[in-house]
Amino acid sequence: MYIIIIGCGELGVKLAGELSLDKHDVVVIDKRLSALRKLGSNFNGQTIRADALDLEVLKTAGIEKADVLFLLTGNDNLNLVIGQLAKKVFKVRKVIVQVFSFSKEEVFRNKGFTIINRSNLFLDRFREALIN
Amino acid sequence: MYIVIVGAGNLGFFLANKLLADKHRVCFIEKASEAVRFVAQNSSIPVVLGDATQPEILKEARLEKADTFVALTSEDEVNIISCQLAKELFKVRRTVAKVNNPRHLKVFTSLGIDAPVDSTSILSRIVEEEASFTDFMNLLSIKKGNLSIVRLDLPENSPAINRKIKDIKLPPDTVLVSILREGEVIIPKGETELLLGDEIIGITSIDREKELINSLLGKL
Repeated sequence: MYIIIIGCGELGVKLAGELSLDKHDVVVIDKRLSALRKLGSNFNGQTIRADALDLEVLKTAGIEKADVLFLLTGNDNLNLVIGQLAKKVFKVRKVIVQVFSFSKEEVFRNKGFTIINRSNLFLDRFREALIN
Repeated sequence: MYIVIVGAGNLGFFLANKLLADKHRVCFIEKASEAVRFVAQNSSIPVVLGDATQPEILKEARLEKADTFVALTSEDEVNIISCQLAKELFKVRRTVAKVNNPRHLKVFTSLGIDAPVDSTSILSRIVEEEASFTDFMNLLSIKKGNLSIVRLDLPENSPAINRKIKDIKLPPDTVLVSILREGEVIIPKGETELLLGDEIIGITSIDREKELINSLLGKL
């Protein structure tokens, strides 16, 4: 599959590495060169250092042929804006958006993309840890 | 009207005071406590302290009563998301947003912001026109109508000087609206003769600007 990951933090690095090991075509976009460097030499996908809030940059990354787009920047608003673009303008089949805010998860729930609320995941784990 | 403005910086503060002078009601949303303090000390405009992309903060600014929502922060994604929340959750009719990076303009229009204002492009166009020596100035472009209002100052080598308007071949979709001559406004008619130094205001379609320049100023 052709997979684009925006946001090269710890999660993005890990995910990109695993997906490229699984023989997927992976493109990672981040504004920070230092973040992209963390992908290391094992990563054999493509990296783009750019502001992803730009239709031209997304096109360069091949968004028109992407099967999956992951939005993993630490900025909920940025993830949600690009997620909407991916669905609305580029009709990407699967768009997965990370957010931390409960209220934003609720508002943008029905925009056609999958929202993963990291705060909610933590909350579940904390609950489990408390019980066990 | 009741207008909620996000961002109480220089631009926001200036705008709010203008709106107040026009008898509108204004409320700020601002996340920097320093700016909030400035507003409190220098005006009686109400301010909500907080992040305008949080629905509960928008609620505090009584957005359900707002006619217009204006987002002026320096972060484009904040401006977009807050405008979207204003529309979707509070049914605000008109959303206006500052576009910080001209490359983001298309993102604003694709995502339904009513009036994205690309201040960088506007400013650079004005500076460009002021810095150049041409006798042509675009006063206003109305993109939706593909319409431009322009000003042309007739220079010495203009092919239109001492000719009647009816004898000048103007491009289609073009109207000369007025002539400023020695401080007086002349409404142009077919018989009106153009003179050196005339300042002509015209309306034309955006793609005819070049032809209009050619017929009144000569080839550039």
